[in-house]
Amino acid sequence: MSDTPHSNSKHPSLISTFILGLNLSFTQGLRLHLKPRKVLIGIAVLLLLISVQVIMLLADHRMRHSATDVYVVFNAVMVLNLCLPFLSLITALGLLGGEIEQGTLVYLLIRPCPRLAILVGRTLAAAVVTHITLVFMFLSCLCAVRLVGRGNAAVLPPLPTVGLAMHLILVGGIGAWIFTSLYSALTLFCKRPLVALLLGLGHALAWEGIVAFLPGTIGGYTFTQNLRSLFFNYPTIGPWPHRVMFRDPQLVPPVNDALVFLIGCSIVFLLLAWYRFRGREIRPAE
Amino acid sequence: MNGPCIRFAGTSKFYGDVLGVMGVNLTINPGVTGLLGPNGAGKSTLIKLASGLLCPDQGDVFIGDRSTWGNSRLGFQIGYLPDGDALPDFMTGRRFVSHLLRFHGEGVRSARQRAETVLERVDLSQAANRRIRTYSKGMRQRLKLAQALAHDPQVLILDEPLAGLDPVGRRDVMALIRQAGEKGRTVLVSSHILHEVEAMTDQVALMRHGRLIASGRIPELRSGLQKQPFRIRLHVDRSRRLAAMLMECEDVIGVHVPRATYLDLETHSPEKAIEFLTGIAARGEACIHELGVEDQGLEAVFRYTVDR
Repeated sequence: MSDTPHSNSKHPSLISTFILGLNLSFTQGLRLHLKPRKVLIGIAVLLLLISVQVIMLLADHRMRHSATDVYVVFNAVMVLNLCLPFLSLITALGLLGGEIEQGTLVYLLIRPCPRLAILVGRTLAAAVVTHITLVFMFLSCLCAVRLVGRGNAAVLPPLPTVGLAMHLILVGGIGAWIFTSLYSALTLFCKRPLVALLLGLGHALAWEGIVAFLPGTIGGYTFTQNLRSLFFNYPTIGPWPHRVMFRDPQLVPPVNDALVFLIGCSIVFLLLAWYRFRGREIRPAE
Repeated sequence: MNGPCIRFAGTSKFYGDVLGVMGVNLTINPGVTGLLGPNGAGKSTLIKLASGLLCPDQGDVFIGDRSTWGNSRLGFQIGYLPDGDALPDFMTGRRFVSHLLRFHGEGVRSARQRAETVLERVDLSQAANRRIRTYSKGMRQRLKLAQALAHDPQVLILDEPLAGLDPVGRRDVMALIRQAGEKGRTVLVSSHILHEVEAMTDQVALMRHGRLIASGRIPELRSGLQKQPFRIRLHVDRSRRLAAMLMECEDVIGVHVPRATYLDLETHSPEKAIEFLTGIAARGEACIHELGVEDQGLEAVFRYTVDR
């Protein structure tokens, strides 16, 4: 009888298992979310968004405002303020909270890869799913503006198409990552997904929805205003005539500060999530 | 090669004010060991501590010489079958097993091949390409066993592996578990069903109210229960006459005659009592049609230790 552990020489190294675990956790997370039923729901939501925008634009035409104003208002306010946090919250809850609640995460936790790899893989997958949805939302906005503007270039922001696409992908990606890492940490700190959902909704509505627009400097600490800073000031974009309407210096921090703030916060959230996840126990069913 | 031992060293686990397990000192050696106890005895807690899914509040749990909590590398050595019915329903059985195998460093092709092999072993190859949501409870249980066996682990930790299986499935799974034990793997199996555990192994650990109350081989445990004599039931022609003769045997501590042709005797030493009876039968002093030693299996051990 041998009481010594078996030789690990044939097993992959810790770094290999980390990369492998990250990759597999990420791909399984994507598969978990990109299911036909969810894609159909997503398309339905997009159609609804397009309809709302068309109605808004038509109403705005009657009020003799520029369609571009409405486009900017809609994208900045609706997508960045509301859609992005909610989307991130739902995907983060589904990927981590849902799996912990159902008990399917146990099959990954007993595998020989560090828990950090599983956590980062799943958070990345949630961020990517959020980001893909977000890009589709922006595209739907563009389609709506095109549709109502009847091909008139004046209703689109004065940006080259490639620049605009890059802009949307970058800002959307950063936004998706920051909100997903926040809500992943929140999910792990709450015992039940419902509590995490309520807290997340509270954060999205109260902090990002109301505090972000309060006068004073406090709005500069919201993700919304920091993302807006990137949205309207990103160097590759060039001038944007209407961005001035969001350039209240009290609210919008400088672009470099915004980047540091967002990246710093995402690292803090990820470390908090890791701290919680590495000590996470899978308890027997009551 | 023999698997490493699982060692609980003064292990305690609490869920707030609720006791999970308390001061468990136990070594699980290579071979199959049954973990038995009523609901709430702490079996699942002990299993989860062994697989590194729970952190002990006191003491520690080791596989070989490594602590199980926070040691992801032990995943190479452990195969774990969880309780409950949770599985990723959107995947196919083959994809589920091969995906998990890839965490162990298997390439895509070799993971697929190993998945095929293990699914065949658990008789799931016909349904391997179906989505898990279409599986019956028994098939789900066999799939859980497949993922635990797939990477050929040295230590198998199985929480209620026979739950939800039909009789044929139970027989096959019991055979697989016995085989793993015979190959020198360290197998810890929890179950409620005593005769099935007895069919797999005679090595058991008994738990009650979060405490380990007995562990070892069933015959040794039974003979250690001195306060509980063995009962031998005899089918004879004339029970009263035989009863009178048995009272002369010093190893017989009690005789009971339930019916004219049946007789129960109580003894601490069934071997000596049977020897005495054989002598009587050989001399033609009594005609014994049937003789059976009761109270000597796992059920008796369980009744006298856990269920008292």
